[in-house]
Amino acid sequence: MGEIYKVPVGPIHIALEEPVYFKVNVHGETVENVDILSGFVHRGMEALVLRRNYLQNMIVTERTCSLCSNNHPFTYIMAVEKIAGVRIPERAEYLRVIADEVKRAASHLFNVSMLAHLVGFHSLMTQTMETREVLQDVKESIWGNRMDLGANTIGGVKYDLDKDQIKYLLGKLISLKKPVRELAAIYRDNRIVRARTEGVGVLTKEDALRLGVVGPTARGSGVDNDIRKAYPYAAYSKLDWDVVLEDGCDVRARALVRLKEVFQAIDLVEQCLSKLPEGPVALQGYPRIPAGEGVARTEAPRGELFFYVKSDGSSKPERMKWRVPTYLNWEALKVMMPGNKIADISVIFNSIDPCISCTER
Amino acid sequence: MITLSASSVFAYLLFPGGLFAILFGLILLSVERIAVARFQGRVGPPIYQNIFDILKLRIKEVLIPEDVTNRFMFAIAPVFGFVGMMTAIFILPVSGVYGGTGANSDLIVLVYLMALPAVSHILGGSASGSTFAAISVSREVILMFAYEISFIIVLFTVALEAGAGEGVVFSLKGIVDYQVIHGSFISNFKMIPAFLAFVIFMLATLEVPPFHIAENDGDVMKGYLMEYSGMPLAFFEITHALKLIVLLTVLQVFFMPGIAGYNVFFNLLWFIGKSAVVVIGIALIHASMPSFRVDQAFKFLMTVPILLSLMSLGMVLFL
Repeated sequence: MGEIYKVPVGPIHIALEEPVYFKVNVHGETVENVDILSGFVHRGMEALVLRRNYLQNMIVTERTCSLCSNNHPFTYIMAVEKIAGVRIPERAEYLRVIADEVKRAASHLFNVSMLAHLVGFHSLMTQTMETREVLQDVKESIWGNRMDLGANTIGGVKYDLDKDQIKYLLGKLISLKKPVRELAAIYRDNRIVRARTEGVGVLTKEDALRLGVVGPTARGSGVDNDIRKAYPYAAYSKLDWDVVLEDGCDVRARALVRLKEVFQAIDLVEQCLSKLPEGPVALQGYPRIPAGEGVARTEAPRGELFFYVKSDGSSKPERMKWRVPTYLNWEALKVMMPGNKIADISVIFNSIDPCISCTER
Repeated sequence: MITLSASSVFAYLLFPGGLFAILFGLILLSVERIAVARFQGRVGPPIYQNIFDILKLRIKEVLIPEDVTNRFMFAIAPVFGFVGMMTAIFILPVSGVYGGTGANSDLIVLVYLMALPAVSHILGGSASGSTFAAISVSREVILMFAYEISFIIVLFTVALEAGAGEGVVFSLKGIVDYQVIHGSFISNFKMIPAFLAFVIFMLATLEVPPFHIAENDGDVMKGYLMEYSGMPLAFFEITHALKLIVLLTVLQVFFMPGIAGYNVFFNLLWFIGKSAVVVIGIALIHASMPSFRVDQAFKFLMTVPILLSLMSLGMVLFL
């Protein structure tokens, strides 16, 4: 087979959870180059938010995406708080971190379980999903929802933890450590999983820096890029932790970063719970939003999430713009994919933890 | 010599070939799915699920896409594998139940018949004009090339061992009879590597992990089956069920044809029991392994099973 032929992967394809279209030029079984087309699920959210007031937008932004649903309102609220110039109570800062890290752990486990699915290891996928179910239970018990937590509000958080809830949360998270450790060992050491992920979708450190990738994709290539450390927000500067780095530069390294960050998330929540100060969880009443501009960024499970909000002093924002991590990461796919096999396309695509509904909004 | 008689027509169409094999194969496929589900902590489908799938496909419309490259080949392809497998079951003996056709060199015929389902995948897939089918067909060809070698070596090893140093036995009945008298090959240390090679061959032909490659959902969707619908698709599924039965019967003919006595009914139950145990073993491997990529699978199939089968062959020849 000397000829180059085109393989359409998408817009609707079993391997992709969301609609995106790869035009892959294939030579034999090897990928020559790839063209990415998107825009199939554009919902016009940036126009929608201009017709809602600041409080309603907390709900709208949360619906951007289900897996990083906590980070969107979180970042939006931080940007609005900057315009209003308010400082939230200290207890709320810790509670924000707790909600964020629980979501992050669940999102990372979801992604690695999809990796197991794509390399054909369905037992590992079901086992990972079963482990993640513990976190889903935690979310449902404490925040009332399995996906959209609704944890944050302008000026604080919407929930508080009493003694029983702290005990429950700690117990659940500690019970999670052993199964996650077992799963991580399989992802790290199983020979076929290794054969399918090691050296696949290589993104060198130079390319990672040049393309400006973010999140676990960057950290898997050894780029120290973590907004939680570089520009600390909420309570992250008061906690003791290190950025997880791997230098494998391949799909395996990215999966290992995610698995290590699950442990890190559990550790961060434990730290937050032990240091949790007393006090109110939110300001009294909502602040008035004056005219002005604000930006905020957080580390979403997929990488840096950036929000820009412009206010003209009315009850609705004048302009809102958000930049999501997948937008930065998927340019790197054009570097990662050439030279790999057709069977690796979906594995590599999954390794950047793509979120199309975020990217196209 | 096979003569057309009432008993051979019965054997071909009803028992142990034909209807019995189809129903048994479909039920075993469901058993495999249930076993995998249980290993994964799921409930799994009911035991009649695969039979219902066929019944459902019977009433579905047959769609033939416009850009099919060869309509005739596309329509006729499912039949090759189906007929091949029907015939394979007809010539295979079930120890203590059915003597097969008793033809002298039916082992050689078996080699050709066993390749037919893959041939029908290749014909149907390449006629369908779909890119995914083309990729999957090229994978199937690569894998077939690799696994058929070890199968043929295993087959000769068995034929040699059944000849007991006085030539080779190319009669399936002869192989079964030899083992019924001298003990099953699975209890013979010389044949253990060949048995392992045959199990790998089985996994590769059945396309269960670690060889779920040619019709892997993750990248080529359903591969060569992608454009098929209705009855042609049902034929492929029935062929798959028959292939499972053929492989199980060949496994038992080659390695464990032991009988449970001289009662046909008990021997049949014994055959069903052994088949179910092997299927659950396959399900365990299925549930505990991810899939190779095609190049890795080719490398694996060209080394491990071939070396194992050569080891057995060497021991049979020189020990």
